[in-house]
Amino acid sequence: MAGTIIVDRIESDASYASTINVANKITFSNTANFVGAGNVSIGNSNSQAKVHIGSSTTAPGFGTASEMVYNIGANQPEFLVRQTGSSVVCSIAADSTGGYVRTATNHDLRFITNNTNQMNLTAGGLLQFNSGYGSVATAYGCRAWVKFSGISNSIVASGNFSSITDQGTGLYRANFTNNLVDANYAVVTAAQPNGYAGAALGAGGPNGAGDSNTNTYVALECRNYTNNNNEPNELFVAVFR
Amino acid sequence: MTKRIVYPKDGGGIAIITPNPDCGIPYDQIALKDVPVGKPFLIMDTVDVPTDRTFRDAWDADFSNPDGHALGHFAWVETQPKEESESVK
Repeated sequence: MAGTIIVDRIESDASYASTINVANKITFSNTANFVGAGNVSIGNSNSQAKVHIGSSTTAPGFGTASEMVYNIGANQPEFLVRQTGSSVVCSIAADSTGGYVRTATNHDLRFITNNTNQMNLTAGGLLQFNSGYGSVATAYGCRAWVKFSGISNSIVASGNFSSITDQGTGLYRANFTNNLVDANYAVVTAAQPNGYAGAALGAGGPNGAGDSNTNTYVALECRNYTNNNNEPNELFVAVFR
Repeated sequence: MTKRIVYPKDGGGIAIITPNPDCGIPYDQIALKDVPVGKPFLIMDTVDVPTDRTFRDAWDADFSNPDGHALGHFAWVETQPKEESESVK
């Protein structure tokens, strides 16, 4: 039988456990305040936090000294976990531009699979991963790369290069789509020889066009074994920083 | 139709830019960004660029009626719309 129970106040003697069994739902017509030192739990009878959703109590960092807050904002829903012993705060959030996984405090974000730490994003912004290396260590990214055909003068495939400038025989600029922070990067180059001529690439400069590397382009020069400028069949460039 | 961007070099002759069609930037914008600051440039069909490169270093072009003058990388970046983002705090 459906019905409504209006309760102003529920009290119990501290020596008695109190249970209210509700078959359908509880509706609060005003702000609901749960006052006191106890916890609120959903889906378990042994709450481990101020708000504890679900029955698991074994998640790393989630114990009796932790808090778990599920915050639903109008524009920014956020699921936040705080380890009160160390003040580490980690959350999953979203806004109208995208999703976020973060630590809100000065701590690393760690990724674990098979119960083993496999990858970190450190508080200082370093990306560390194992990926067969043997340990979780900082990896340095390839910031731009290109395979360029000297025969058809076309970019076969690339990343973060918006164009290649032909400045003359064997002289090139590889122009970044997004500039680098400075010119102190390392360039790895290779070239497939054109005909009988050997091909070699210098990167750094100044090259024969008077170009040196900048934070907006890589200066390249290709020469054959007689030390004359030469156009390779294929040109490969990778930039690390 | 693929394009090439041509501009005059300081010491004479021309430089020819091969734009990356997959970089997400239109040809005219690549020209404004990747041609050196202030240089006039022409945007032409690839088929109009000679394929015989025997005398490549002697090539020249008429820049009396250019398609534009370059801004350079950083001035071009300033002309691009900024992405608005609500910061999660």
